[in-house]
Amino acid sequence: MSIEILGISKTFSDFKALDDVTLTIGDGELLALLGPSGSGKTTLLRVLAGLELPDVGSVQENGQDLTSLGARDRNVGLVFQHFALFPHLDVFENIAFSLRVRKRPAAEVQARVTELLHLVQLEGLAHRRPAELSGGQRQRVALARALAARPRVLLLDEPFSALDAKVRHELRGWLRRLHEELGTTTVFVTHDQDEAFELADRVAVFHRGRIEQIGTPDEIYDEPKSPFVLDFLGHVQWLDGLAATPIAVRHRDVTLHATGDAGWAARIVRIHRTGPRVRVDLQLATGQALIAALEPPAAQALTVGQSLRAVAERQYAFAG
Amino acid sequence: MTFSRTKRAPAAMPGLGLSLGITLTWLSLIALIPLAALVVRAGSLGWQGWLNAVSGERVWLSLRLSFGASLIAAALDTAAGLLIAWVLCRNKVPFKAFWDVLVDLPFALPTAVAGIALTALWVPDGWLGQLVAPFGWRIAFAEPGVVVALTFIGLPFVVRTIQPVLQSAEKELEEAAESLGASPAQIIWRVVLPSLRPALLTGFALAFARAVGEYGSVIFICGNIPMKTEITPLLIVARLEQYDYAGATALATIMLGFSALILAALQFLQKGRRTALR
Repeated sequence: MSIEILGISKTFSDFKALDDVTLTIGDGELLALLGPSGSGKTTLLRVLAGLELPDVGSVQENGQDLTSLGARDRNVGLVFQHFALFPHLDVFENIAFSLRVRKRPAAEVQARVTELLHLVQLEGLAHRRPAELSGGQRQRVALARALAARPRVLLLDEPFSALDAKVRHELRGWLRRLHEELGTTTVFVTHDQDEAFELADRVAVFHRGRIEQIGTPDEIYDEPKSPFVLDFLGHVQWLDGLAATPIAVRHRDVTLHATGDAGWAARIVRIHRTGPRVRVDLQLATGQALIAALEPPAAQALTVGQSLRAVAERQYAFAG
Repeated sequence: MTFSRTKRAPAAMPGLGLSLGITLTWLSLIALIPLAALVVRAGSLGWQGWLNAVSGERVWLSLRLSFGASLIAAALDTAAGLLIAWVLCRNKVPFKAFWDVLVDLPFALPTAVAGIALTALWVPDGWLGQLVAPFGWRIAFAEPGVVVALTFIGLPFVVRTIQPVLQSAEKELEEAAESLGASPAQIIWRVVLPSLRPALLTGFALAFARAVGEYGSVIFICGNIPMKTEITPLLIVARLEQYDYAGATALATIMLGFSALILAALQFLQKGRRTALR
């Protein structure tokens, strides 16, 4: 079941949250909406959930118009950044909520919740209150709760940003496996490019209420269509005055050579280790600063103050 | 030179001893000692004397009216208070600041003034009294008058207890419930009200406690008809006026006992449920 978002705009007082957004979400796809805060990605998720009514445009599913359908009747599974579990209900009843309000028979509720508890690996915690769970456990309960009524689409708003780094990584891998297992069409919002690239089949990059670029992680990373996308993916250096238009070089695309006349003459200003790579700060003979992120072996022979040639294996320039 | 020091286990809270001491002393001075004096004074009657002082139909009827009307008033306050707090928090009300101040007015008004104003409204030819008179209902100078006065003075307690809880409530919980397929009514009953439960119980307890102790406003509106619209505080004052101090304190101990019982039951209701669900 594919979902089509056609020309959606939404303005809050004088802030244009969404500006003519058109997008097709494929059946069973895992799509990331990536962007800085205020770029419109969460508003689009809320429009998809039926919590926000767009000013213009429509949401259609297999040709059927859903735009004016409220959240209650959309049958989407929604997971919030801060989990939004019901504090007065235990884990079991939280997960059972959507079945209880639909007045499903008790035996069916019991069976479905048991199945979901198994799926999210929380079998032993059925009678705990949300306050007694860790962040990762709470988010898994929220996921199970969202899945209970077998939603057509699963929507996640910054699902991992309230968790610490280790749990975040575990849950990402787990969500990916869960998606492969269930095949539910899933849309998630994130401001973390690593998360988007690691999880998603396709990534839509948002900027000022518009989709700046949409594609597979490879397409976005290798062929960024605008300075904004390139910048947002990070680890990039802009160089003015070397060509007619500013050029951008990714840190990891810079190689250093002691000899030859390729690239630019440069001097090493600083060398320091950043995680798996070594970061080398350079100053070009023409005055610009450049950064190279090297594999540790490639950096071993380098010393501060050394003069050499810096080559950009790949560089980006945008017309206009 | 060697220092030897016996190590003391560090207290869980710094200065706990001092702060606990001050708290207990203060609490004793303003609450426990006067209450104890009350019991001691009543005890001077002896068991039989105490029993005589608190028995009799007139006393029994006044207790029934005092506690019955207080419970009804607290229940009405809880319902109305929830509604008012909800509207003030969630709806766009014109002149919100004005209504907000109005809620506190029963706190500030001398209760006698409230009593006189309410009486003027609810006498059979008063503004409100004439509306219900055709149905044969009497409010002023009858039992319902007691409830009216007690409801008036208890309302701010409920509103002010619920308001902050409602304000801090996560809008996301309601959105989550909606996306899970809950109807507006189901959202209220299954999500909003349960999360307000502790505040509602506290508001109820406060309004009830205030109502039981109320004197000033009630004596104006109820007419103080013996055996019919006499509240227990009125009997206590009556005995004091006859210099029957021991008799008055005897009645006071009965009120104290009942109030303690009901407040303890409310406490239990609030705590018991939480542990029962563990």
